Amino acid sequence: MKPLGPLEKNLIFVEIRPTSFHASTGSAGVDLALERSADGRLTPDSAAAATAGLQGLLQGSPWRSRARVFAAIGSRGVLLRPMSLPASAPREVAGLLQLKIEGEFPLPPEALAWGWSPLRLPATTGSGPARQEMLVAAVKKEVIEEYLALVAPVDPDPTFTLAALARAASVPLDQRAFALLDIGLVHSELTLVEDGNPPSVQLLPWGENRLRDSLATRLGQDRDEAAAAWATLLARPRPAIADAPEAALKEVIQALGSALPAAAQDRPLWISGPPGLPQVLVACWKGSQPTRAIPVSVHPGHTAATAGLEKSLAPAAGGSPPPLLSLRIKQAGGPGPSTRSFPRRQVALAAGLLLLVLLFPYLEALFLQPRLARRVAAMKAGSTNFAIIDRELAFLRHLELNQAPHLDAAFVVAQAAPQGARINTLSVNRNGEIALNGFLQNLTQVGDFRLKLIQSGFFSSIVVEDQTPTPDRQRINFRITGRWKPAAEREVLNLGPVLPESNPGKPPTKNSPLAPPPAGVTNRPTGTNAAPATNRPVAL
Amino acid sequence: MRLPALTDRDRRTVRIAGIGLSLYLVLFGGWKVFGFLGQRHAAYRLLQSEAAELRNRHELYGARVTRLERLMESFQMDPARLAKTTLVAQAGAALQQSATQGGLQLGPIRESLNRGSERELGIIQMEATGQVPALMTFLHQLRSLGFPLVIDTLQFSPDPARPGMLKVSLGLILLDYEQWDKKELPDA
Repeated sequence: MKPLGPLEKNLIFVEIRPTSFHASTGSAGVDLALERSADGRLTPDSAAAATAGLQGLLQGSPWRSRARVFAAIGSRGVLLRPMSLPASAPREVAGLLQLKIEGEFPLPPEALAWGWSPLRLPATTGSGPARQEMLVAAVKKEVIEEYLALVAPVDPDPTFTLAALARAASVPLDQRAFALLDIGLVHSELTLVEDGNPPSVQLLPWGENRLRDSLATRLGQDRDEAAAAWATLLARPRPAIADAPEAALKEVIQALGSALPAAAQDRPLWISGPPGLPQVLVACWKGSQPTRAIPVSVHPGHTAATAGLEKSLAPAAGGSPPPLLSLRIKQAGGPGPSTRSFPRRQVALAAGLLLLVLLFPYLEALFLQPRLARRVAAMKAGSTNFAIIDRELAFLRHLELNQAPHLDAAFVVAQAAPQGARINTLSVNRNGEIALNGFLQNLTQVGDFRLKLIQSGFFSSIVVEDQTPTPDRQRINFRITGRWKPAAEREVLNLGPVLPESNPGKPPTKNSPLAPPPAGVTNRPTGTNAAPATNRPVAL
Repeated sequence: MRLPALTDRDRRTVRIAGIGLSLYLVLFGGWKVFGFLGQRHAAYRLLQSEAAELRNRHELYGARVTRLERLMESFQMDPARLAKTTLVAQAGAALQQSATQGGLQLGPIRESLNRGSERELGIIQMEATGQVPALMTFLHQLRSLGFPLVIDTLQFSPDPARPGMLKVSLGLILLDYEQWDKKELPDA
C-alpha cells in the first residue's frame, strides 16, 4: 500500500468487530453496537446506524476532500496462510497467487475477497531459484460486501485489512517476537508474531463475558450484581485494582493465562480490549512473561486496531511497519480478465478522438458555412463585370488582329529594293495583298528584287506580273504583286532596327521595325505598326 | 401518501425500461442529428465547389483584365466611353489634327456609313501629301489616336505636282463597339 500523501488528511479508521463498530478520525470517533440476525448478517437497522455514525464523523467539514476509509475486520472466517512464489514482477504476483489460491484454498478466488503482503523473512542460502514469500489472507466475498455496504456512502473504495495485523502495528518495532491478545466480548484473538516467521492468528473461545461470568461465579453474585461489579472494576483507576476482590480476579486471570498456547507464554504479551480491561489484566497477570497493555487513546472510536491502522499509514522515524494487507474482491494487476483493470480513461479518450475525427467534416460544415456563403455572395457580386470585360476584350482583340502590317510591308520592300530602283506606287490592303510597280535598270535587278522579297520571309507569295523593257532599252518596267504571311508566321521575323531605350523594362516585340520618331511626336505607341526605318534610298 | 416499496423485480424492470428508453432516445436523436448534419455537410460541399469554380473564374478574369488594360493602353482607348453618334466626326477631326500637326497637306476626305457590315460604323477615305517621315509618323499614330480605326487600303504614290513629296491614299474603317456580340468570348 502506498504511503499517504500530505494532502490526504481526511482519513477514517474503522474496526468492525462481530458485535461492535468503532470509527475514528482525529480525536473524533464513534462506538456503536452491532446486532446480527440468526444467519450472522447485520440487521438493517444496525447497519444503517453504523453508516449514519460514520457519516456523522464527516459533518461540519464539507470542504475537506473525499474521505478514505481504512477498515479492520476480525479474524473469524479468515484464512491466513504464507505462500511461496517464484521471483516475479509485482504486477504478476496477483496472477500467481490466484493460481495458488485455486489449488490450496477451499473456495475459488472468485468467491473470495483476498489480499497479500510480502513477508520480511531472512534470505535463504542456496543455489535454488529466487523466491518471494507472501502472507495471503482470504475471506468469503460476502463478508467484505456486507461491510462495504456500511462504508460505501462515505468511501466507495475502502481498504479492508485484518484487525489482528493492524493491532500488531501498534507494538513498538523493536519487539522482534511477541504475542498480542485482544479480548472480545465472546471471543478473543491471539496473534503470534516472530521475526523470521509469518504471523499466526488464533481465535480463542472466550472473551469478556466469560471473564465476567467466571468472576461472578467465584464471588457468588447474580447476573445484575456481576455486571455492576464488572463495570465498576473497569472504571476504577489502575491503582485501585487492589481494592477489588483480588483473589477471585487473579484466579480467573490465572486460568486465562494457563489456557493460552505454549507459544504465547515464552514471549512478551501485549493485551488490548475494551477500555480498562487490558490494564486490569496486566495488573493481575501471574505469568512469567512481561505483559503490557497496548496504549489506546481514551477518545471514542479509538481501538488498538484503529491505532495500528493510523500508525501503519503514518511514516515514523526508526523504520516503517510492514505494509497493510488489503483484502479486495477484485485484484488489480492479475492476469485474468476479472482482475485486469479496464483502461476506461484511455478508451474514452480514444473514442472521443475518433468521434471528433468523424464529426469534424460535419462540424466544419456547421460552423464555416455562413462564412463561406458570404464569400461566395461577394464573389458573385464581383462577377457582374465579367460580361463587360469579355465584350471590351473581344472588341480590342479584333481591333488588334485587324491592324495590318502596312509599315512592315513598306519596310521590307525598301530593304529589298536594289540600288537605283524606282517604285511608282505601293498599294496594300487589309487582306494582305500588296502591289507595287516601278522600273529597274535590267532584268537581273527584277529577279534579285523578287528574290529578296521572298527571302525576307514576310511574304507567302510574290508574283512578277509584268516586266517590260522600255523602247530605249534603258530600264525595265515591272509590276509585282504578293501576299504577306499570316500573323502567326510573321511573329518569328525580326524586322527593323531595335530602338534603344524605347521602353525600359519591356523588350520590343519581334516584328516591330521601330525607328526613332521625329521630333514633336507624342504618345508614341509600342505596337506592331511602328514607323519603319527607311535607311535605304528608295525613290517613289 | 406513501408509495409502496419497490421489490428487486420492480427495480430491475424499471432499470431495463429506463435503459431501453434511453437507447431509443439516443438512437432517434442521433439519427435526427446525423440527418441534419448530413444535409448541412452536403450543402457545404456544394458551396465549396461553387466557391472553387468562382475562384477559378476570378483568376481567369484577373488575367483577362490585365490583358485588357494593356490593349487599352496600347490603343489609348476605352471602348465603353465611345459615343456612337459623334464617333465618325470625332475620328475625322482627330485624323485631320494629327496630319496637320505632322506637317502633311490634306487632300479630299470622304466619310460614308457602313457598307453592310454590322460591325463597321463608317468608312473614312482621305489623301495626304508630305515628306516620307511625316507620312510614316502619321500612319504610325493612327493606332493610338483613341479611335477604333482599321486601315482597309493604303496606297503610296509620288505627287506629280510637287517633286520629292509623297502622296498617300487611305481607306479607314471605323468599328462599332455597340454592335459587338456580348457573348463572343476571347481566347483566354
